[in-house]
Amino acid sequence: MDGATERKHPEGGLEHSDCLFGAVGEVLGMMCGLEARPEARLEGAEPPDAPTVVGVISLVGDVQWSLSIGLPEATACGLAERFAGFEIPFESEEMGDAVGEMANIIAGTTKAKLDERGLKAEISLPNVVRGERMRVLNFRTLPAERRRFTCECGEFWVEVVARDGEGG
Amino acid sequence: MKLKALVVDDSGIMRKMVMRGLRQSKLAEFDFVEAGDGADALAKFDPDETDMVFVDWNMPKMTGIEFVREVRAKYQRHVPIVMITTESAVGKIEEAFEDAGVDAYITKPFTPDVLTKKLQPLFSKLKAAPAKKSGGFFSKLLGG
Repeated sequence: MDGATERKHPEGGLEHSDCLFGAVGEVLGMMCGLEARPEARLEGAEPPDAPTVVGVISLVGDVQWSLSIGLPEATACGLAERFAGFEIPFESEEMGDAVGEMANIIAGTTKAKLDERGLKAEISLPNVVRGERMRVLNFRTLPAERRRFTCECGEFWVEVVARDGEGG
Repeated sequence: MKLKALVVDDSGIMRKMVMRGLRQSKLAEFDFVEAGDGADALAKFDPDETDMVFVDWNMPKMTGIEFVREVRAKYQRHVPIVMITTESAVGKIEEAFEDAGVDAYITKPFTPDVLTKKLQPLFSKLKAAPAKKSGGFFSKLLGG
């Protein structure tokens, strides 16, 4: 990953966030045949107007991370179809299932990368929420990093929040 | 003749992806039964009829590894079990093979080609020793 990434708390437990952002590219590359490129940090940016579905999952252990993957409707439909191999309507329960499973696999790949660095963590079960103009609100004192990605299916965002600023 | 395969994952999408991959692999023809967690799988597992199980690890109610341990402890007939999971740590893989008793292990993410490649050795091994290992599992494939 290149490009400057400003962090709210430079030493705040996100030293290994590249494991997550690298995992996003790997998983979408393998399972969807897509190149997903991290484009820019999104600190303070307004959320997209479009209806969005967000997969949320945690890593607990040597890192204490909460991960979110936010997919606006158009991106979600394209990604889900590539992921699953068939069309999935945005409003369907299957869309939530697909996004949750994507979050699960990205978290698993992140965990494997952390493991290569000697960091151990367990993954929670994923949750999925949907709405319009969505932001995941975190305590302002917690270290967080949010990046926009682009791919052939559109834009999406990925965020990691370190819950106690230690570890990683 | 078709093999009766039990596919276990709390994600319905992932179950469909596994089934699609297995159909594409052409390793066998399958009749699928689906389960959403380990407890559901245990209820649907038939020691006389189930020929093969594909199971995720992390699921609510009962994990995949708990399901595998239950099946191995409870039933004499060795039904081949394949774990398909995001867990890739060496310790987890060892636990699945040596402690619980799975026969093959596939990590997510996977493509249909990867699924086929990872399962081919299992199918070859079981074809070589059908009577001992599977109690008739591959006799179905061989037309026996």
